[in-house]
Amino acid sequence: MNKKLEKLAHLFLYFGFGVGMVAIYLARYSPTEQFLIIVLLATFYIVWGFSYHHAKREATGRLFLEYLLIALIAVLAGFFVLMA
Amino acid sequence: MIHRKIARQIIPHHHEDGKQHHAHALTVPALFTYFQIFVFLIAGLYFVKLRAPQVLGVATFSAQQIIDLTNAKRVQNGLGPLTYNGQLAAAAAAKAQDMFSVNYWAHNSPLGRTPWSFITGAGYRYIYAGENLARDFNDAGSVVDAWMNSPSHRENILDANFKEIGVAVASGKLTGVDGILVVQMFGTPVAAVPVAPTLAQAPSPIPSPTPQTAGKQVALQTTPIPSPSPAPLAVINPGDNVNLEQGAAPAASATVLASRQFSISKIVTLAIVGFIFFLFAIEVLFVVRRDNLHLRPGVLAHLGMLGFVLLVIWYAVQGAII
Repeated sequence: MNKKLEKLAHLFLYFGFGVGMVAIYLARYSPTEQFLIIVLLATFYIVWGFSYHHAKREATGRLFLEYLLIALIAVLAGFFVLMA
Repeated sequence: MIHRKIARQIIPHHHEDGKQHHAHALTVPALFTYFQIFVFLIAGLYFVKLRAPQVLGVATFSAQQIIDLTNAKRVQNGLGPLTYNGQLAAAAAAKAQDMFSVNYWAHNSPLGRTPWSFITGAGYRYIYAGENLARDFNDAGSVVDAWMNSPSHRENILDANFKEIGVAVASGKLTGVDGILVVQMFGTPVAAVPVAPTLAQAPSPIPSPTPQTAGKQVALQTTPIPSPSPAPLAVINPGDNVNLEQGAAPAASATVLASRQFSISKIVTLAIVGFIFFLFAIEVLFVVRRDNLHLRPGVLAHLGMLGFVLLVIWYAVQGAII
């Protein structure tokens, strides 16, 4: 994967986070919807990570575990504040 | 030696074998520990809620506070204050009780009851009517601020057509969550508006549109109906039925435990997620500054994800409105 594609891939990821922030703002008085947006974004992040690192041929079990754990931390943090 | 060990916990470094290692506080086992901390925190919160909810503090506010703050916003915007109406307060209390007993969070009940049916059920004859709902806030100011920040709710609060107000503040369990529910009913009684001949011919209320956020309805009701005797003032006890008390001014209030929960959860979450974010940011900073280090795969994505969560938590709003 060349540098340009890498940049584009990261732009796509950060664009996703940007869309997520707008969605969070629009759902600012609905904690349930906000939590669902976090779950969706965490899923998007894992799928992106899997695809990106697979394409770069640097995918390892440890790396996916890292993605999974950070996504789980994000979801639990959202649950703790918004839903618990 | 000790400071070197501490540094290795938080910054990327090379081991004796020449391999680059990231901060020990960012290894997979360390991330798993943070994950476990959240699991324990959530489990602990549920345990405290079950066994010692008083630890979480008390939130209490009254319908009068909501009315005062609503009127203050109207006055600030050049409108006249709304007059308290006991029938609207009774309608609001009946709506709150219905929401608790049928267990729904919406303007229309699953059984098809509209907000307007509660208003007419309380004997209030209206030309204009509106409803704002809020739940799970810890103070009256936050409720009114949230409504003022939402265009449709703000429209109700600042509607020049409304003349009267009734509010019910109730605590209990709604959709599985303990909290305070606020029902705010607005109205303009038939008597408050001179009836034009054309209006007098209107036989029945105009069918309401599907209630959306901050429901509002215009109806023309001209058939004289005797006004009910002194309007009951609604006070809803925690987790129980509606109690109606007689009174000239609203004093209905609700108390729930768990007022500190939101702020504690927010601070703890910001601290843990912020710490992990900080470690990844340090890693990026060190890699940029030192030529002998390279950026590990995934770090920028992790930073993005954690930054997103931090922003969500930072701007998380306590409570919900519809």
